[in-house]
Amino acid sequence: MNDDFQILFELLEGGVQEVSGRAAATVSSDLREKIAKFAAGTCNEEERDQMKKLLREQPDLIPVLVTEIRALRPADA
Amino acid sequence: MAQPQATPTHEQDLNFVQRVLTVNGAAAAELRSRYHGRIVAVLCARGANPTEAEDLVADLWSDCFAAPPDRKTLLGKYQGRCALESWLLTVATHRLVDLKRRQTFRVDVPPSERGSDDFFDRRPHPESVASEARLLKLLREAIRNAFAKRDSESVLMLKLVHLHQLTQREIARMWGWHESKVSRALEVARQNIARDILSELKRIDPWLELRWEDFLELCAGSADALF
Repeated sequence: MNDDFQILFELLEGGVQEVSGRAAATVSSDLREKIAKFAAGTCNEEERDQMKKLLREQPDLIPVLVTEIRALRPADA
Repeated sequence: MAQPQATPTHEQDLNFVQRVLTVNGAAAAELRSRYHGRIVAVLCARGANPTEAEDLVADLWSDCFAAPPDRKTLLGKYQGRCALESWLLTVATHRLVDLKRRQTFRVDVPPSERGSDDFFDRRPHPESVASEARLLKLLREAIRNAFAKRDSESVLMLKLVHLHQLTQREIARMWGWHESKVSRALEVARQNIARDILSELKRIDPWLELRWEDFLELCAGSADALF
C-alpha cells in the first residue's frame, strides 16, 4: 500500500511545488535553524510539538525540512 | 493551479498510440482487440449493465479516432504518464459515473422544454471537459475528506514519507519515537484512509463497485486528466 499513497498525494497536491519553493526562499534564518534542529532530532518535546504544529499549519515549510533532512544523509545514501 | 510537466513513462504505449493516430488501420484494430473486452468487463464489474458497458466502449472508440475539426481526438490526449490500459479504463469509468449520474438526474428532474429526452443528450458528452473535471474533483474530495478524518499529525507523517520520500527512521528521529511505533502509526493511518475513501465513494455513488486497486488505477489514470 506504500506506493499507493504517493499516487494519492500526487493527485491531491500535484501543483504546489512552485508555491512551496517561493515560501521556502523567504524563511528567516531563525526559523531555518529550528527546522534544522527538528530534522536532526535534537528538539525537546515542547519544541517538537511546536514544529509539528507549524508544519501542519504552514505546509510550505515542508520542503525546507526535507532539504535539511537530505543534507543530513550520508553521501552514499 | 499549474499542472506538473508531462513526464511520459510508458513510451511503448505512447509509441503505439502515435501509430494509431497516424491513421494506421491495423494499429487501430489492434487497439480495439487488445482492450475492448477488458474495458467492457471492468465497466460491468464497476456497476454498468452489459448494454451500458458496450455502448460506452463503442463511444470511447469513436472518440478515440474522430474529433471535431478544431479539437484533438481523445486518443491524442494520452500523454504516456500512465499505462494506456489504465488511462482507457479511467476515461471509461469517468464516463460511466457521468452516465449513471445523468440517469439519476433524469429520474429526479422532469424534462425541460428544450428537449432533454433527445437521444444525443442522453449519451455521455465526451467533449465535456467540465464533467470530467468534476469527477477528478470527486476523487480529490474523497481523498481530502479521508485525510481530514485522521489526526493531522498522521497525515503530516504520511506526507513526509510518501510525497517527500523520507524514511521511517528519519521520522522516528524527528518525532522522538521508536521506528516500530512510526511504522504502526503509518499503517493504521493508511488502512483507515483507504477504508474511508471507499466508503465515501460508495456513499456518493452507491452503484459504483470499486476496490482499492480500482480507485488507485483511476487516480493514476487521472495523471493524464482532463482527457
